[in-house]
Amino acid sequence: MDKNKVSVDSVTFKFLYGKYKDFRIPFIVIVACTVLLVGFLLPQFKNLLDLSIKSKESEKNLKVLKNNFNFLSSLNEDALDSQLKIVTRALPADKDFIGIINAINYASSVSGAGVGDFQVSVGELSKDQASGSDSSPTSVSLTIDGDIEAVNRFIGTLGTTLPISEVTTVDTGDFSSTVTVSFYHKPFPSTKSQGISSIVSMGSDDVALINKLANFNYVTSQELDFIFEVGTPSSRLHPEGELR
Amino acid sequence: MLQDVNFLTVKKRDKAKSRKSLLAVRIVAVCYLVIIGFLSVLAFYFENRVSLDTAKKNEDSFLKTIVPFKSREAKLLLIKDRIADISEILKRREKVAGKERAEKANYEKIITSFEEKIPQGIVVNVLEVEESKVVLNLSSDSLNLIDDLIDGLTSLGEDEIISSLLLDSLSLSQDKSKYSILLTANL
Repeated sequence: MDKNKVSVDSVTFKFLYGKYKDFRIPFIVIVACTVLLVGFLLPQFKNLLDLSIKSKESEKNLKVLKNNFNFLSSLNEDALDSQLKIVTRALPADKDFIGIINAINYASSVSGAGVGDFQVSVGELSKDQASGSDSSPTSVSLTIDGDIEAVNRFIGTLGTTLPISEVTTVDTGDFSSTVTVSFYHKPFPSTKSQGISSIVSMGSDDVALINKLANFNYVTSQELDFIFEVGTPSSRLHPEGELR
Repeated sequence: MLQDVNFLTVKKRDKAKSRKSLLAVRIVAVCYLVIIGFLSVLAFYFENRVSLDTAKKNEDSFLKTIVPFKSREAKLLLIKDRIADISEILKRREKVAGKERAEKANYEKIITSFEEKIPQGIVVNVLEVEESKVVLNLSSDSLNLIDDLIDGLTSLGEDEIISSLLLDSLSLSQDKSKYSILLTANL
């Protein structure tokens, strides 16, 4: 027979029940209160804590939104369009071959340095199409008919002509020189907003840079045709496309 | 046989003990109930006080108000994004060779600097400018002019445009009428 086994018969049960009868109600109250505390109150307080954090976050967001609203409503849409146009001309969204050729022709026309053959390294086209995020520069190798001074004038003019370019190598000779220029572009990034964040205005340096770029030359094909018809321009072409 | 067994006393003692325990348990139960009741009221009060709905509603209403200005926000972000890249390219372009050797040279400035130092009478056969060096192939009918040229180019080192100047070769043509000089200047 198992010694650990305790058998409680009905008489014993009745005896114990009778003995502890008065403890029933306090015991039930304590158990009920414990159930209430664990099952309801503690989760409720945790919920309240989360709610309080969310509420504070929401208030913070509201403040940011109000500031953003005030800032955005104070912006001049036309000025923004104009600035975007300038920076996109400086750094196009894709490989702007027409812009590149126009810039080279314009620099050649203004500097008096005749551009002979030129070779364009297009880069990885498949990557460009597939990911839409290729921003490798377009390298153009130019043969310039002219001496050092002509090449220098050409580089100087190209340096102040949009789209933005960077001379990587110069090889000059008596009558002919080779210049390698990199033209940059950058695909538009995704402007999907990632949560609520404060919008920061452009700094004074940014505005100064846009103004500087606005003074750079930018020529369209039509304007270039006009330059070739009239001759070497003595006046600078206005970036917006008008002759001044 | 045991003579000192007093069942009545033990029973009374037990009853008193039991009553004491009951009282203690009752007090605990009542206190517990009161605390739980108080906490429930507190939870209810705070739940009503901390209302997320109002803040959320305000936020949503502002989000709707701001929608017409989203295009402005997008334009501003695009401008700033492009400005950062343009600024980087221009900075790289504008840095003068020598002062910022790690960066690419400003070719226009370099060519001008070299051009200024080449005396009249010296013919430039080749001027090759690369990221870190300039190669010059020149010819002259006078050694004095070549001397002036080297003196001039050496001063570019003082201006921190070049870091070193190497005379690769100096030769005289077969008819002894022209000197050819090949120089390499490291930026």
